[in-house]
Amino acid sequence: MKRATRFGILTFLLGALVLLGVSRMQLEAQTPTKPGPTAIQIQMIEGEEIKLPPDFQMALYENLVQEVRRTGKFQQVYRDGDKRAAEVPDLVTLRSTVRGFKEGSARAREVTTVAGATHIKVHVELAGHDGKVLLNRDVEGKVRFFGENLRATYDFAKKVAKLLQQSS
Amino acid sequence: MSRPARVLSLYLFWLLTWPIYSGYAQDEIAAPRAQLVLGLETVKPNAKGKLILADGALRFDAGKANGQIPIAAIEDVFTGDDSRRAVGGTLGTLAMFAPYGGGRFLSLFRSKIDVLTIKYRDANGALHGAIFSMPKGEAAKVKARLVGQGAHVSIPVEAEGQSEKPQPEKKP
Repeated sequence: MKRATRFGILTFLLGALVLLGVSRMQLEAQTPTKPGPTAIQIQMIEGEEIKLPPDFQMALYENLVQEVRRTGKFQQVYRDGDKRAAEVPDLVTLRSTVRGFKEGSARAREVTTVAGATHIKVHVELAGHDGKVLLNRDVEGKVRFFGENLRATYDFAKKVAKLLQQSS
Repeated sequence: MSRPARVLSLYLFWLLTWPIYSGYAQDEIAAPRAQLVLGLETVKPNAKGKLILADGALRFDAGKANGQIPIAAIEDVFTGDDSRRAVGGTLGTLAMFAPYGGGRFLSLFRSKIDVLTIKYRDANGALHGAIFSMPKGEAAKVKARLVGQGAHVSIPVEAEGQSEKPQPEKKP
């Protein structure tokens, strides 16, 4: 008798748990998920106090455009100054400001593989159409082992693209 | 074939092919050996080719693939030396003492090669940048040719190769 009661309670509890789980899943399925922005405009990389060489600035910008495109998160990726972006209602804007860099040495990297890393620190800000800041972060581009300083620009772009991919 | 007939056939051949050659003569090779670092959507990065000035555009010919930039769309052209001058001024020297190495010159590559950066806008006003690398000393020549064909630049070509010390003015 005692055993039967225990079994009954256990079955009831298990049933209740299953029912709860199912109803929660149904609720989640019914709740409409807010769609993310479909378009992004990437502004030219600026340097507030840092005077960045034009080739480095361009490499950062071009790599950023390519990497954001590659994520596939946005249907449209607009470049700085693109007039078509003004017509997009759910456009977000990505602004990047170089905060500093530490020049390494490609030769030292080749010889030691540990010394001579180049770092570039960039502040990125993603803002909505209404000006509301959606993402505000410092991102560091590095080239540690082999390769020219150009690789630091690629590393930065990849990190920003990943950040955007992860952000809602 | 007799000699006059041979001369005549050669003359006819020249006469028929001359328009083709004259068409090619308008294409000016700006840099015979260049490499695209990045920035042309129709050509893969690191493609090797030549830079040609033709029909009011700078064309990068990499064999099967090629891309071009209309000269009228060019906003600015920078050589590696321009970048050094732009960064290595007074501001750069002051910023050198800033934390995180502000003012030191950060180059994309080691100085064995020359870098040419072209900033331009497409028909929608979108900003693009194309970076080419080429043998040392070539970038300034390409820039001069682009300026000669009407490209806009913020650092004039006359400044190329000038020493950092200003020349003393002659008194009248």
